[in-house]
Amino acid sequence: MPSKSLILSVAFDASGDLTRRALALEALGVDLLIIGGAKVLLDPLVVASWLAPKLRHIGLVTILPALTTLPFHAARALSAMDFMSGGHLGWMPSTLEHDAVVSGFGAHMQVPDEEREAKARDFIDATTRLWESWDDDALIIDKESGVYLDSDKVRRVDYRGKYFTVMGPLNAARPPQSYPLFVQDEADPLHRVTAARTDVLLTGRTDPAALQALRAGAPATRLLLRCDGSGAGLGLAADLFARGLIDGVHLESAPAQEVDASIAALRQCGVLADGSTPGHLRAKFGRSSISTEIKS
Amino acid sequence: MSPLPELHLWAFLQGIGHYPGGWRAGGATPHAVFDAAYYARIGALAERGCFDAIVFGDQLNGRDAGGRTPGRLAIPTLDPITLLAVIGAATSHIGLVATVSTTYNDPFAIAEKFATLDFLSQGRAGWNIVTSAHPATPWNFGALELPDKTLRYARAEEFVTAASALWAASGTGETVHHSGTYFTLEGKLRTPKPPHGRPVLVQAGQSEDGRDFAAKTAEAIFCPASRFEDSFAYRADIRARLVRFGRHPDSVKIMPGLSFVLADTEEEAIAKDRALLELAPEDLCIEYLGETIGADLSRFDPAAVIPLDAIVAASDFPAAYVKQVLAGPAAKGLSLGAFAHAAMRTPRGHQTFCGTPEQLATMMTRWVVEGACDGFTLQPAYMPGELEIFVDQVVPLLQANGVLRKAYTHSTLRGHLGLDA
Repeated sequence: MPSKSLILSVAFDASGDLTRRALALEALGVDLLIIGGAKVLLDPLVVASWLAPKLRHIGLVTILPALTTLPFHAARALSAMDFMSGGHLGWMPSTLEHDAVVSGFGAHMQVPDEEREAKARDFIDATTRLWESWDDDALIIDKESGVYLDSDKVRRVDYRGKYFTVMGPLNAARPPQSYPLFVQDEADPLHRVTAARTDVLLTGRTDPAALQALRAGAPATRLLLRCDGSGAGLGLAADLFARGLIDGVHLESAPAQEVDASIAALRQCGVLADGSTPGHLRAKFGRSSISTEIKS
Repeated sequence: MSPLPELHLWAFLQGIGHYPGGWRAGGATPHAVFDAAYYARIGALAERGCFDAIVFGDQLNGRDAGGRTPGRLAIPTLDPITLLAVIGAATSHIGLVATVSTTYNDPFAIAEKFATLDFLSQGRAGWNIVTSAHPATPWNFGALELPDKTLRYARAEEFVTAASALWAASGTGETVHHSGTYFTLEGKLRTPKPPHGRPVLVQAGQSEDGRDFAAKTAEAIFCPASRFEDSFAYRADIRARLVRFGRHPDSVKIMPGLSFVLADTEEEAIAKDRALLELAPEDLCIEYLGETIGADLSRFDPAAVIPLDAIVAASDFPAAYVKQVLAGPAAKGLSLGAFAHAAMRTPRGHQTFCGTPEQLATMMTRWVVEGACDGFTLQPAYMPGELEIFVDQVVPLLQANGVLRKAYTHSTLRGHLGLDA
């Protein structure tokens, strides 16, 4: 079931005056900023943390290299970020940039093609299990009794995967969203093995039958059509949205003026929400908000 | 007459304060450590006090004691770089120093994170370089045991070399080739070059190896020093090593730790300190000790003499590690409860000052003017209350004494340290 208003996502370049640009996009009604990828020269998580205090409700989705990041580091940085953003964090584990970055980690870190999905999946599972080492309501923080947390609600994980062995518990509380919004790109082969848990999927498909098939395979996932930030293809996107075949668009990198014009064009179509909806990102756009939650 | 030396202030903020029971203090806001607004607030507080920097400590293991998570201890800290980025965005001058371990990290990823923080903050980032020492840490990274100390130091040195090469090449377009014992990499950072090209390097080094490592690479050094004489000797030793390594003796700032509890009179301060320590009742102390040695101690009788063998058997950590902590006290016939209390009260060699703001300002001024240190790394017993008292009442006195700046004259961390060449 599509949402009533079009979900608007924008690729965030993290160049120039970042905060000003992020605030402007938030004011224009953008729902998600996706930070990372080849065009972004700064570390996406640090950028997201830098932006968080100034932003109110826009979602910050950080692209994370799934093949060179360690689960313990990812789990706690993402947990911290979810707190700092008030529950507006999303994450997008990706294998797409592996070849471009791996030499910085050493040749031994190169993952052969046939193992990439498995290792990335292991990374995602280990990270998720670390969050689960804390129950949502573990924190008590009662000065008078001196009880800070319920010991029964924090536990070791003892995760043993093919690539990662992690004991836990995590040294960070359960993220406010329980699970930060999970985003994938159809261009990334990884999306095939993460389909059951993907909240938001970026797709390049414009053929209605292809989109219908995609929907059928993942009815609880929001589909965002990748569009050029300059505005080409928006008419088609609006049409697909009206037919319920997509839930939103993701505007790819383009000069700010062009992106703003694209957003204005969408607003003119009447498909964007009037104001922003408060609430955690996952509550707004996650699988659970469609009430067909599949626990992975 | 030569001008007075500059007194540098750093705030070492670990969670909700350094006293294990501190989270329960009236002036503590334990819920707030999960909010961005809190970090913006303490950033503004430190800037108001003309501090050089805020430092966050870190660990790479969860709170755990033999499989049971202590229920009375506060979370030490959230991910430091995340918190410092939040503080950086909300401030304009304060330095942002993150503790990051070289033992379970990669130079490329860490170099990129620091370069990003340094670039966004326009030259305010710093790295407190540590190695992992807690026996539970390796379990989070696919290993059973820590590498031994010499190897950890060797890896740390190479890590810093590789990261420094990456920072140095930043903005030149050149690919760095590093081939060593622990790392072999070929890469270049994409991050644009920050004002000084690299973060300030900070260390704490006590052993011979540690002092040499610090003297070779650090720009600021933490140390424990409960007495003037100890701090003076340490500073003199480091300065001599700097000269030996071809560096100017002023090129490193020595910043001993300083824990403090302040009140209108010395008696009141001592009473306040006692009250703060009493916020950690015996069960909290025993949890704290249990966490240190990796065993759930709640099942042992606190009134009985330390059952060394039983605890060693119950612990997940190597026997030698546990005995190092408990063998001496057990031999002395101390009860588990009594030792746990005592252990909680010893802030690991750092100085704890109980007195009035005037007394503290006098002590701090004397240490710096007479060459025992270049400043202090403040460790508030609980946050933010005790740090607020310091900024409100001690900072003006230090400024009146002529040792602390009344306003920032630089906007980079190296500038605040007087190392901006």
